[in-house]
Amino acid sequence: MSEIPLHYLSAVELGRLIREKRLSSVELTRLYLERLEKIGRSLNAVAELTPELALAQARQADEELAKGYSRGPLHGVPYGAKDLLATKNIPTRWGSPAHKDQIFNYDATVIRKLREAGAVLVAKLSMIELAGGGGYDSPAASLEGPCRCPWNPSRWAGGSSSGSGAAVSAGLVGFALGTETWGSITVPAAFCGISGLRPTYGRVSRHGAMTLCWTLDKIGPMARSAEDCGFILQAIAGPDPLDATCAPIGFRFRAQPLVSRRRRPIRLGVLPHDTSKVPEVQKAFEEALAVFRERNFHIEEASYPPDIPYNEAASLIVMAEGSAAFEGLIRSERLQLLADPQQQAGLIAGLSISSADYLRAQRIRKIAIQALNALWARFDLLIAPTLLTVAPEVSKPLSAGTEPWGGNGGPGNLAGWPSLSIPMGFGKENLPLGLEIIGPPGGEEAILALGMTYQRETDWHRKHPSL
Amino acid sequence: MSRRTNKDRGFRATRRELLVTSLGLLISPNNSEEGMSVQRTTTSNEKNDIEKSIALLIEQHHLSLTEAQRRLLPQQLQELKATILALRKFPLQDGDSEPATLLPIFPLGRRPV
Repeated sequence: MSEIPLHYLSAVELGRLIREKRLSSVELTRLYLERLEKIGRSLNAVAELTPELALAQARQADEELAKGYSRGPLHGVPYGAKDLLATKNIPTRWGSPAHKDQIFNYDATVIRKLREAGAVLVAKLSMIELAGGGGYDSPAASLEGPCRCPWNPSRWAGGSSSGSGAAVSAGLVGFALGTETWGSITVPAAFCGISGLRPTYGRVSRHGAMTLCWTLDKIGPMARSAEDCGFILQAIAGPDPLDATCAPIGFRFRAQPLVSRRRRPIRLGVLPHDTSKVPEVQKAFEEALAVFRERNFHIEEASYPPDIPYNEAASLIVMAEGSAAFEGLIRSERLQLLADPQQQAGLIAGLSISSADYLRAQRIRKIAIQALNALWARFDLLIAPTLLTVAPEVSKPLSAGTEPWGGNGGPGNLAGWPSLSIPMGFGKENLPLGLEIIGPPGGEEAILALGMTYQRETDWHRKHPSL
Repeated sequence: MSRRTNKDRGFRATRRELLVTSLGLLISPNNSEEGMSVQRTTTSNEKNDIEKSIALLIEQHHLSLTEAQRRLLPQQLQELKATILALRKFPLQDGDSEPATLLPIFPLGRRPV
């Protein structure tokens, strides 16, 4: 631990140092504010710094801990929130030039819950405009400009939780919140070499979060370890009368690695992934599988039930709901303010979807969910490379890429499954690769535990860029 | 593990799917063998259909399109149409199958009605 710079320690480690009075929250908050200003701005990861609020919250944390009152593992730990989450009297611009003057007079439920857990909000973090619901072709589709990957600033941090991924990776915050409709946590987590958890749909209240797609949106942690993700989820999960889709149960994180017994092994299903053009990804994945095999996990090939148009259904639902959510903007001249014309055209096109076609997609979704959930009779968890590519060049349109992207976002998000992406090594040009662990609905404890097992045996999550 | 093609996944990617794969992110057909296989030329009938769709959109939503929006919209609509056609091929029985709008995803929760 001693060789890792303070700003790259995990949230759990930082919280422990603060509780043990070996580090003050104010001291750490100042360090992160300086790094956010200096490094975060150059990466385009910062939407808004919140120094006054942060220092007040940090002072409060130090005072409470001095009196012997601890709010838990995140007490005094500075964090950043994707700029999609409402924060009282602090700009919340959704990454959108069309919303650059937007300020809410209330906090999103997750912001309130983290305040109650004693965490310190140091920054709002940049994102792809409107979370990319119209489909975008430019890494620069953001009010803050293209968010750069800390491992190589000529590469993109991923989207749409771009700033959250970059800020965690670059040691600018103790942890961050991101959101995912379809890949927006797992993709930047993989590109930036961090741990990102997409919770089960309905696990975390979305009150105060920008809506892109009511039936697919989720809020989740982005951090420097699976263990961190578990404690952050524990803080933000739970019932909320302000979000009717939020399940009325909390999440108690046990923080124990997953142990597989030889006599009754835990069954890991390997999802299909075509690595014929990316042997370095296959090599890293094989090494990850070896870690699990050596620890008595049973590994078998898995496949999605055939003949169901998962991705088409998810795609149509995102388009229809996204365009409905922004109908006012689409009908106004402000739509032109969006940075990426592809987004503008995609949002307009979504208005043409008929109710019959939207409901057809949702009817198919119901059948898809039933078919997909049948996989859990055969497997305890599913795994695959998060993506087949490393972070693409920030200066080129995303459509200019020649490598396959891969990914498991369609079926998993359609079914509301939780998923964790953790660092799995490095691919081309020494850029991070991600390992995705997917679980059944409500299976966060198991996927986090498997992530902890992997991170106890490897040190990929301890690697950090030289910033 | 063995390597598989997209066909083995049990679903075929349309270009629209690739457009929004992971993040609403635009990915060109060149990023996918599957994507390349679905590229095709637009027939004049299809062009007419697209133009009618654009006219209808403008009328119904009182839109005033910019040059860039007007230029990009046909491709967007064409891809959307491909997605819709793929969904329409999936067999559904009339009067059957409730849509997943009230998502019974979470197995642990006693969801409030």
